[in-house]
Amino acid sequence: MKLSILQENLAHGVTAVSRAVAAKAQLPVLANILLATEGGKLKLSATNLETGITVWLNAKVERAGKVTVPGRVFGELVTSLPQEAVELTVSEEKVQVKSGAYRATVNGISAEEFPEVPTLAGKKAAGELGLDGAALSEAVSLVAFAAGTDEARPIFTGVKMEFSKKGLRLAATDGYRLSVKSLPGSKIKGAGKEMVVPARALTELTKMLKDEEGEEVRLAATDKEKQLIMSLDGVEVVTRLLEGDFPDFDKIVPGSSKTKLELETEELHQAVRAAAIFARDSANIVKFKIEKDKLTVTANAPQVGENEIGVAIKKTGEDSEVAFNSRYLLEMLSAVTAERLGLELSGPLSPGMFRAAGDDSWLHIIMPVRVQG
Amino acid sequence: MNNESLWSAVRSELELNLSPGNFATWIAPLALLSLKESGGKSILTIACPSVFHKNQISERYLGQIAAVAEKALKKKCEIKLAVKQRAVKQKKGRRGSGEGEDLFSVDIAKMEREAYLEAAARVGLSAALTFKNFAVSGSNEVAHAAARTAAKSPGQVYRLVFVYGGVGVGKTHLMQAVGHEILAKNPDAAVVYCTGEEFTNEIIEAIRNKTTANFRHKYRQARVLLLDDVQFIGGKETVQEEFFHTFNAVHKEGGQVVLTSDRLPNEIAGLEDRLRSRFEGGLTVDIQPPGFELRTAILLIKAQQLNMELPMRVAQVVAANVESTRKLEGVLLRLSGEQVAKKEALTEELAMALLNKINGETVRLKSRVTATQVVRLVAEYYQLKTTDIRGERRLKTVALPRQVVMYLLRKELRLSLKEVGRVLGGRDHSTVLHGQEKVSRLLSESEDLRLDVINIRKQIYQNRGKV
Repeated sequence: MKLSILQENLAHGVTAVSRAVAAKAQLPVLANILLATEGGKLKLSATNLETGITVWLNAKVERAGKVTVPGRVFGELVTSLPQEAVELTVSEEKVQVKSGAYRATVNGISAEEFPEVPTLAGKKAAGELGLDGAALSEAVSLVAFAAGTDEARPIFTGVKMEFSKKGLRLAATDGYRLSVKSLPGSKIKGAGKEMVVPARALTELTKMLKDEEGEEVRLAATDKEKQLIMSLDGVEVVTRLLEGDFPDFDKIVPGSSKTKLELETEELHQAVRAAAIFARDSANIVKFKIEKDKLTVTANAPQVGENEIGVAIKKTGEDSEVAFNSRYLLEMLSAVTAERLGLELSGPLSPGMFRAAGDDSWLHIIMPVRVQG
Repeated sequence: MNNESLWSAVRSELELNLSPGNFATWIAPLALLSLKESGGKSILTIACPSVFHKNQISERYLGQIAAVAEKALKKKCEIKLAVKQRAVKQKKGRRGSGEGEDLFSVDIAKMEREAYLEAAARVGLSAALTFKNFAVSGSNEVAHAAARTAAKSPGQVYRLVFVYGGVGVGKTHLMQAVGHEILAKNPDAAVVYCTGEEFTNEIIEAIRNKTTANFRHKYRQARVLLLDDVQFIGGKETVQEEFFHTFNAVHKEGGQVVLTSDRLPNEIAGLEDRLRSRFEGGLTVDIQPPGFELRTAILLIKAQQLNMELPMRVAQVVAANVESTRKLEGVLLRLSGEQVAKKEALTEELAMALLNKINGETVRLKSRVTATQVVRLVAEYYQLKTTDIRGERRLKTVALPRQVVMYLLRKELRLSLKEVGRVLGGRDHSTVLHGQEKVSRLLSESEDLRLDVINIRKQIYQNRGKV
């Protein structure tokens, strides 16, 4: 194999596929990136056997071939090269890298060892669904963080995507919080289709969006193989779909609540950040006390101290008290973009529901922490 | 060879042939889904956790797996692959602190109930002393309303409710009900309940152990302070001092204070003036001893708590004969014991017999006999007309029976002098008093009269069902 490619393109491609390189691979080849020539382009693939990422890069191919190289080393090497054309020559599983005055040789592993990463290779798949990239990206950022990381409950590591006539709904939960976002739109097809996609794969996909208007993400799922290929221009993310029953989250969305309030997102974010300093040493517990037109955010750690921050609110209903895990609050507050937030509560044991003020398409529910005193 | 042993045999064989990395990555996550016989061949369907595994297995390991399986089964084998994730068993059990309950497994109503019961136990409230179990009638309705208000909006309407009344009228019940109600709404509410005696003992203990700071923290952080039998702190200087500060601390934070006492603040001996004036500044309500109807209602409620069936008539007999509410419960417990021991339904007779044993005297059925009936029975006994008894004539033959009526109405029905006067055609209370006293005096002198009264009494009680 011999080819030359612009450093910028190569670095971009390597960074993209590196996200799928297995972190703790039992098989050395899974820590590698596949380099292969395909249709006059350079194809890069990586996989951790749950998710695989493939990119196709423009290159001047002189001699076809394929090889795998250690992802981390190759990635670091490529990003440190000057912004010029890079020449890659492969002979006997060794990759020679030449760029200007830089010379390097990377030891690779035969491409035969590398598992096949399924791709559409730019072709359209049957039953493919198209989504607006920017909208999907926003939805994923509002939802995916709520998914769990506990492999003992695999279904909770996914984002449920529900297609209906009204559009698409995404939901994620780790059992202690729930995030739901609706993307209304009659143009969205696939009504009745449901799937649970690993949250990590969706997050990786949205990181590769170019933030261009009209950018489209195409989803092609195969039920038999329980896989989903999500493709962008020149990039494909393939992931397995999660099996199992996603919990019926609609039934835990409170229908009514005893206390409703509205406040500035940033003000609450700052308050919780400050309270979290003390909450760190006491199980991350941050208390909310709602009285009249004020929300008092407090935290205390017997060994460290305590703090109290007041946040102005607009309230209807009863005064209330509730405690949350500060980590959940902070993750939610970092994700939300709305300037004002609504919060609905029904006592210290009932879940608290956050919404973007004036926007019903997103909701976030957090289970409170029980505290005494 | 069953599926499991076949698969473990295949795995062990492959483990020997493959590198540890390859085995752990590709073979270990597989599982045997099914084994079928078809056309002289065994068909093994193998579950792969992902399509990556499926592709890799079919490309590289299919032959090896088939060969190993053939060796184990001694038969031709065909391998089929399917993508299927292994079900992971859900781990149950609670997470560490800081984690809430699971959103999907949580039963809020049950949790609220549990939290409330836990809180009630922590505060030291008796489970039964709630508003639900509190019977209300004229003698306690004001106190009940005040307590309800205090429970509904603590510290907002009446910041101090001072309940006073005699023994066993329900002061403690009402006070604990306030605590229950507040905790039911918010199990984390800072409710402190204790008796004046406990408060005193805790101070003494705190002073002895040099832990007065803890003591103060416990009481002064309270937002709802329930202190039973506050009269107990009267005359105790340090205790009053401490209580004064506690009281002020709770008040300053807009908390609710409920106090009970067996007497009015100004009657508590040795109570400091500053405390007295504070107590008098609150809402002072009294509870009178319960009347017959309320006692009956209390009995029925208590019976329900004990899960025993108490017929209305039996409840009335007991309520009519036992005045103290504390004793009511004792009688009820014994009745329930009798019922269980004898395995017979509760009857009035059974209740009477038990009451006789307890009281050691003839049980009266005050409530069951009306004043008019007594008048009629006496009239019949002396062969007079009831109009004679009620009338104005002062002949000795009429006057004495009339005085017997007065005596019986006073002693047996416990009517007031005025009421007796009214029953007997609007006589003055002093007349009634005179009549009653005369009969009392004559009873010890005249055997005839004594017999008359005993017989009339007997008739009253024997006829109680008929008249």
